[in-house]
Amino acid sequence: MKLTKYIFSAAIILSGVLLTSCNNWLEEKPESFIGPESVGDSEAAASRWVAGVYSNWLDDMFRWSNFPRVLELDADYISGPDWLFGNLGAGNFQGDDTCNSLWSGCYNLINDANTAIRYVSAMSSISDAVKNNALGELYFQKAFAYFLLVRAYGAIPYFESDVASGVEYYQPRMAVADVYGKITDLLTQAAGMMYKNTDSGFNTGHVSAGSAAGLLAKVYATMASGAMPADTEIQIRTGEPFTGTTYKDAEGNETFKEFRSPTPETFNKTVVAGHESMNAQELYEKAAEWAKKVIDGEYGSYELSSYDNLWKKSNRDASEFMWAVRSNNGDQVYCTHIHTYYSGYKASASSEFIESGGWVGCTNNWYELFDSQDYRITKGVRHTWRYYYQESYDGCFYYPLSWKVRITGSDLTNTYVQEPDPEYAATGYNYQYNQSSECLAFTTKYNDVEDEATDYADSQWPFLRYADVLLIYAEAENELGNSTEAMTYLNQVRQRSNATLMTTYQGKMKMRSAILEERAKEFACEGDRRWDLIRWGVYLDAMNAIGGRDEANIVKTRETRHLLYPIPTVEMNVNKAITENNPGWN
Amino acid sequence: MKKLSLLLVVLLASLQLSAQTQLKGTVLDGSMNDEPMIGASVIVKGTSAGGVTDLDGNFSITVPKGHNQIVVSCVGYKSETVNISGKTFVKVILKEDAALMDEVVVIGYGSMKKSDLSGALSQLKGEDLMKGGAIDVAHGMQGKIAGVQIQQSDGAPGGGMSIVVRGTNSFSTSSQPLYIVDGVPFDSGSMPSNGATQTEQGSNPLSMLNPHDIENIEVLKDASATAIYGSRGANGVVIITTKRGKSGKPKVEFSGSWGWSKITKQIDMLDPVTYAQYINEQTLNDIVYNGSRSTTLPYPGTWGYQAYTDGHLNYNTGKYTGKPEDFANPGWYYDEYGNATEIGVANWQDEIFQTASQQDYNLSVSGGSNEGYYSFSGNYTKQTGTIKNSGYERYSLRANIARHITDWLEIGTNTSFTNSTTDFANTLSYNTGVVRSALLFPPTYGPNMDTTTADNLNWLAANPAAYVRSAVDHLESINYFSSSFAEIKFTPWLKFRQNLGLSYNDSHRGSYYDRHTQEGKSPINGLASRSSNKWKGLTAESIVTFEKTFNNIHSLNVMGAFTFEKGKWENEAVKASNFPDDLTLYYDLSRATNQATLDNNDGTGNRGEQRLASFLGRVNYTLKDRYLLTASIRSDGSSKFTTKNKWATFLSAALAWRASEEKFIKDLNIFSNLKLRVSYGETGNQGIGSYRTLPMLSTANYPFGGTVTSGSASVNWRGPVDDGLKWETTAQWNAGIDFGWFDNRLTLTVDYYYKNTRDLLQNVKIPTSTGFSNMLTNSGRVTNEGLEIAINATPINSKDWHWDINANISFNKNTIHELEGDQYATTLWYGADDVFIQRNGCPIGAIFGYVEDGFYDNEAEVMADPKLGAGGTAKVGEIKYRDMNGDGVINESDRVIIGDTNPKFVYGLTNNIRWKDLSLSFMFQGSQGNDIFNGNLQDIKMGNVGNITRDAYEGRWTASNYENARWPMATGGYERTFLISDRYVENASYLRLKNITLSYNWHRPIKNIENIQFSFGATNVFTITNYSWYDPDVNAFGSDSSRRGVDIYSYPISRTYTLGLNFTF
Repeated sequence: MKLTKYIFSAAIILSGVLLTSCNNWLEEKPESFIGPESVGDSEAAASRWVAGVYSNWLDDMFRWSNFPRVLELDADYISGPDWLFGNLGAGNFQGDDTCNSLWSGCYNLINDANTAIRYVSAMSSISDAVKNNALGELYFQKAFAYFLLVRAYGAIPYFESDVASGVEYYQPRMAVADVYGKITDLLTQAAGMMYKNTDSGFNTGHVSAGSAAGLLAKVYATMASGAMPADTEIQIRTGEPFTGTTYKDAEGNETFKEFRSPTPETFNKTVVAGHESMNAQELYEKAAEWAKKVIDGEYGSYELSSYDNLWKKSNRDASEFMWAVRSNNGDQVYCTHIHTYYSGYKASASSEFIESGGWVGCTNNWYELFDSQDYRITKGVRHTWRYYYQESYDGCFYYPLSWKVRITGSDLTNTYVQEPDPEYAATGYNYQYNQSSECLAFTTKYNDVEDEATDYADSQWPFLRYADVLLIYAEAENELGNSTEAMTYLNQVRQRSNATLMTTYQGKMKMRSAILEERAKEFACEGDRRWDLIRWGVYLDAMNAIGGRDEANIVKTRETRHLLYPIPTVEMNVNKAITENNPGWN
Repeated sequence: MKKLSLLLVVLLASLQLSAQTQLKGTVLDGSMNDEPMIGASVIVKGTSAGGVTDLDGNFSITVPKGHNQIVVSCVGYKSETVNISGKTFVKVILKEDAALMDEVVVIGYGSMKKSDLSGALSQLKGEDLMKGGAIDVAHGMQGKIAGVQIQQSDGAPGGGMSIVVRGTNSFSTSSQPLYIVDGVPFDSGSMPSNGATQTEQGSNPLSMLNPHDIENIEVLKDASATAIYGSRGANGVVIITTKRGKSGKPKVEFSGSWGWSKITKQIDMLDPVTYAQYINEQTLNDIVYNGSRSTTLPYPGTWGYQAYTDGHLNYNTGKYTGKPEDFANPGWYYDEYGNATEIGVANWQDEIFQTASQQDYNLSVSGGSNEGYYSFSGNYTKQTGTIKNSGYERYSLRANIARHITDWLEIGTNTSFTNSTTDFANTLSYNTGVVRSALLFPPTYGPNMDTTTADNLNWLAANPAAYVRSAVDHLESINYFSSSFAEIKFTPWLKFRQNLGLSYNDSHRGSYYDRHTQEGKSPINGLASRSSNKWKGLTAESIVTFEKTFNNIHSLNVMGAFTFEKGKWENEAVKASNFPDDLTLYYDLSRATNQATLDNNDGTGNRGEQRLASFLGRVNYTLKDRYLLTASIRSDGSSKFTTKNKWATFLSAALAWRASEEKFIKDLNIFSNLKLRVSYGETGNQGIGSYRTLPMLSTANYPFGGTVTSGSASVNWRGPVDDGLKWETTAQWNAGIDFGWFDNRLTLTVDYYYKNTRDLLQNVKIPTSTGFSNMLTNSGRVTNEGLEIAINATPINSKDWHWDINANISFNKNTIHELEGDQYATTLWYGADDVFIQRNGCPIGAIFGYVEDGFYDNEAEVMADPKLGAGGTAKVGEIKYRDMNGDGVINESDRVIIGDTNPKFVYGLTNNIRWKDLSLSFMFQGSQGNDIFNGNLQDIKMGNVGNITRDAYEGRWTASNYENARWPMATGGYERTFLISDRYVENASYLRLKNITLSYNWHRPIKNIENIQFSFGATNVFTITNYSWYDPDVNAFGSDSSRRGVDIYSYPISRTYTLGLNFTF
């Protein structure tokens, strides 16, 4: 009896001990995730680090549609519904998180780029060419993120290395000029490290040596224009949306408010804060130098696509797109909503009706900048479109209002005056125009996608086009006094769009204004306009010239504080090294 | 030969016995209406002769010559000594021994006499738990235990509960106590998320237990009691013991209850007429004050016609847009051309709420003998929700069996299986959801409105009626839990026990939001999500206990143990959208065009493990039954920390003095009990997830040239890794005193404690410019200081009348120390950042924000005010914020503490009154001095088509009502920004008659039925509060201690009436 008792007891105790006696059983071994040490040392590993950095653009920046809103909404020629423009688009930069996404998105990317740089630099089993190209791409990404940040926020914290490497978490703001110094250093290095787009090692969709050189030209021009003296004049075609006159129909009901055509107004620029110490001439020389290197093919081969091809989905890898964010059709994580915001998606692939979206458009002031034959409005703007709710009464929207007679046969007082154009009469639609955000100059740039019936269409976002490099070159040459060179390259861009070519040089100021205006036309809906106005120091003048609200009732009045985005509250609350927010923000 | 002699002895003995007196008798149970008492022992005094009563309470014994007294006893009853001289039959009635009944309490890794207790521990008996008819354990505990604050997330059936013992120790780790069921830690893993929509709904592990099965709940509060649980003891320990069979004849019990519930109140939103007036007023104000170029009213009362291409109107296309007054007469409106338009109205709250029902059945069979015991029980519960399409259903089975195999070996198992099903309504969700929709959706549409119009408003809120018709969110959980043991008695004073706990929890959640809901509207065209969670736990505990009394004055109990625990989990979640129709819900994801997206941000596809190894020991020493000493030690090794900090040791000690045992106190003849206790100890908290000391990369792909390429990048939400993470440690002092008067008919327990938690594990905010927003690290300190008072009184205890009162009240003061700078709790939701500040000297749960200062009533006031910072340019009719620091601008530095979600005190009061067979029991419960952040008010924008409360409407700023304005002017734009201000902070003190039950016991109605009990009860009978929303007992973020006391579209609580029937055979 006693014996069994002890044997039994011993057995139980022993089993308990055995159960727990395996070695290292308090050590953690992750099963469903990896750490940085597990990525490895190979070409595939380098590619993974690089892709991980690019991925930031999609998830989080574009995925939640804060991009491109944060680049686009606060400008003079852009408009849309008040629910979309009510905060950032109306000057209430702290009204929602859109502004903050620029900060957090870019800084997330920067830390990932820094981490990737650390791990890729330490790799030993890949060729120098592969390694340099990977590092160059990472430098480029980091530089571009800082470029977006410094334009928007002015002085900003700068991280040399990732936080896991032991760098101080609480970084003070670095002066604007110093940040630009870092950016140009990174890009100069990157241009020398990456493959050219003509090299066999180059893969489409990646940035290349030419992207870095082109961006460098744009960065130098941005620095230079900001530093241009305060009395420099610049002309912008702008003004209030309406004349005050209204049209009335036969029964005396108001039909339309009369659009006022934009008139040239001359403004004196201000020096952009932080650019005071910079030398505009020298910087324009550098801008011109780098732009010319790209044009001359020193960093790869670049050309303008033909207008008809430019925005086709098959053209996304064309050399004109020097740096664009690509997304994947239907992917809900690595996605953009560009197509939704600018074109609108349909209920089904076969439907002609827009189900939702197509909100962001350009105003009448913008539309009237063009010559009537310019492809950028004849083809680049949507002229008729239908929303799902128009099906029941055969409704159809058209643009612009000045086409009313052509399309409906009636004039602005709703008086029938002539036969409508047969192509419109044949449809039998009830054509409508209303002076709200429903009828704006909607771009066709993002229309061509694989599936028009998804909120996750595959439009790409063009951050840097060859046309941009050409216009930067023209701008720099103009400021440097080389009028012919400036005109030649401005005309290269105009010619592609069937615009009337500039034949006589009317002086530096007119040329400067013409190039700025060309940029507004060429890069409309590409998130460029606000930053052009800011870098030229005419943002407040341009915005306030609209006289309060635009035709879609969006507030365009701006004050000094709007020159810079507010640093996000979370950063202000936590970062001990930053004591003051940008002026006027808290 | 041996056998023969034995036979001889027996024969002789029987001859001898038969020669002596034979005594028969019956033992009756005085506390059970003189029912026969089974298993009472009858012993002839001074001998070992005697017997045990049978099923009818009868006994028959032989009394040796010269003895004329018998002692009749039974556990829990006062022994009776009866003179039997000259009798052959006696009837003995045993009475319950109130003093003895509470004797034994369960403590960590053992049990002890309550009188020997030196720590702070509260016990709640099963029957008290069930008073009020709770169908889950946590609700049953609410208000009944001093020092334990229990809050529901909201009123949803099967919804989450959070339990806080003695204040919150920590911001970011779990503040929930450790649950021990039948000796083994009880963890059900986390609830699978609903991948299709964002909501804060939580579940409650205790809902997996059938409350009918519970014998006792012990809550260990001070460090002396909890330190034996080491690194998991800091938040208190709740020990739950399930029912075992009792010696005697088999007991069969059936109970059933049926109930009806209705929400206790509706929020007073605008009626359709006023709503339309309000919307028109927005446009008018915009024209007058904001320079709007708009000229038409949203509710003009005009017919509109489409125009032909030539500009002439098509009179067949008439559509009427009503004017406000039209909504008083909903119906069809016609024009002279024969066009018709229907003007519809709805009270959307009526559309989503219903009268709910609940039913609960329980059947148990139990019994036992010296050989062992058994208990089998089954439970079925079904509740429909007061929001249509929501509900909860549970069935469970339990078998508790133990057997003495030999005189030295006992083995047993407690095993339960529970299946629960929850149908969630989408509540506690800031941007979508059914309650939000019902409140905000314009009342100027009928419940059956045209879906395209409804879809058109989907950006604001879904058509609530469509929502409750179609949204599906279904959670099914299976929980298997078993605690088994083998116990070996080496000697009477030394035993060894091996416990083995196994738990398995498998939860599956599926949801579907069809094309008429906000989540699934076009182009998503139906959004389905499926997720599952699996948790497997294994606990092995080897415990040696030594217990001996020396020289009758030194009583020693020493326990030593080695334990090992392992938890493994696995979860996955998939989402799919774009379904051809809404017919197959989430059942077949392959029908979706956008199939089964793995969302890496939701941590899809995840598995892991956590392990804990511990050595522990405890000494209880009692000198002369009055001087008590307890000391314990536990060393824990956890897989969650790096080698730097893997192991930690926690010590505790307690002293107690049972003064009532001293002669000089006894001589006073005042106290039936008087005990002084003091304890100190340290406990830990390791309530962080696994792998937090390891850096993690997430999948971060990119489609280069249209081809997706694999990428890796850091996980932003996780923050940089701190490999020096260590345990949070709580040092706790406790001083307590227990009084008993009048034979313990009046008892009073007072405990004071001071807790100091250091090395807080917290997600410290770091600058977002690092690429991260937070980092998990040890920083800061929290103290909790409090007082708990519990009173039990039995003022009346006679045969016909009985009245007892249990009252408890707890005070706690929570303070943060040694933070490097202000920290903020995680954003509540979009637009509610930095609501909770963590600042030295302030409590966890301090609300931070602006203070309002009326409104700008005229242009002059606008011009006079230079403080045009936050929220854009000042305008007439807009809120004025106070410049707290007087620097002339309104900015973030003008924010101050504007509320505190911690109550000054919480309390509960239970009364049980019995007259003969009729009993009345009722409980009051409440909380005083706590604030709520009422997030619901954030959607009252006074500036879009969302409906608003009548209170906001009547308090809106108008040129004539500016003096009484509480809300800004109605405008149509979106430019207004409401800052987080005292506007959203409300006092949430309340007093509630939590439940009241009237019951009648009918003894022996017929043969074979021992008792029938009828009861009628009501819960949430009334609540006295100033809180403006549905209910002040709300806590949207559940167990997240840093964001306690938030209300965001919570599921309203309901008043429930129940009928109960209970049979005992």
